[in-house]
Amino acid sequence: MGLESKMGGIITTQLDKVVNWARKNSLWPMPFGVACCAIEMMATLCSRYDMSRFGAEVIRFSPRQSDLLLVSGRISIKMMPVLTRIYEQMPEPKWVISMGACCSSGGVFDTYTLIQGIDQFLPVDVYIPGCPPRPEALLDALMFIQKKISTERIQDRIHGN
Amino acid sequence: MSRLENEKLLSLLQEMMGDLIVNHHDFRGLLSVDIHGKDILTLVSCIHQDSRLNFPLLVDVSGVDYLEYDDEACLERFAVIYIFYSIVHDCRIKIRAFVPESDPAIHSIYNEYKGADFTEREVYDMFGIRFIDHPNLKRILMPEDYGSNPLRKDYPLKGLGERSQFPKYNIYNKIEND
Ligand code: SF4
Repeated sequence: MGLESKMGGIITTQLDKVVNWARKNSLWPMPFGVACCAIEMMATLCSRYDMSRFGAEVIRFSPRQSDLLLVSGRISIKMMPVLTRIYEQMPEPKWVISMGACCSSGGVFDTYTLIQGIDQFLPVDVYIPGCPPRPEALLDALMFIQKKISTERIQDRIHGN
Repeated sequence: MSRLENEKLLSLLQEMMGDLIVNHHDFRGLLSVDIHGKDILTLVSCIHQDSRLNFPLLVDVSGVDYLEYDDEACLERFAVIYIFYSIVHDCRIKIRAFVPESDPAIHSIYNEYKGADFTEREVYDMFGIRFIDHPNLKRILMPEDYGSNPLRKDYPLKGLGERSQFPKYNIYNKIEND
């Protein structure tokens, strides 16, 4: 790992602030859009709602270059290993947004093949309700993640806690 | 060539197949023919190769589970339904081949119609009907280690716990153990 593994027990409050400020204003999302919610996600990224106002416009389709996993859509049993692998490939620190009813709880698809909420196998930071959530809701979730980042300490991320 | 009328089609089929055709009916202009699963290859090769019939296009293969279905026409629990289309005659035919529950297996028609590859795999996946001599018979929609056949009528809609009882592992513990 990077900076945080060199920190030991040093008190680093001011450094935390600087690092968090940098992290929260340049989130690099990894979009995992597998169903209708992804359309709203695309709308959020486009000019009308414009996620770049919050510093998160650089969509990376490679998990190795991103730190925010945006899961939007239904995750089936067959898709679960793929998503797990993608999450594992993302470098620390990383955050996860679960967008939409399907992703957070299975939604209306209470059937045999759908995982009833990705929190069964991924640590989710923010859930967005709605079917689909409006772009404003996604922006709100992003700001929530930013708020969460600004309260973190660098050491917290050493083992990813 | 002109349109092949259903009566003509049926009499041609009966002439070739004899009493292998167990039942037939006509619903809104679609001729439907019932047979036993073991006779499927005979019928399909007639349909494909006989120049008077000439059905070059396989439209679909699907399965049905007639569990608790109260109808004399249902000979067995499962049926595989084939729909063929004739481009020259502009007509369709539906074939219903019944497959017993004790040994759900039927011959693949892949050698006659290559398009049956994926559709037969879907029926195998959803109903557990084996297709003998299929070149690549494995699940197509569900994960390969999925134990059940979801479209069988006695399978619950919410599954048998497959959607929640997978090996869960803690991503962070894994890092610590390394
Ligand atoms: S929550 Fe609604 S919009 Fe989103 S993936 Fe599910 S069905 Fe589609």
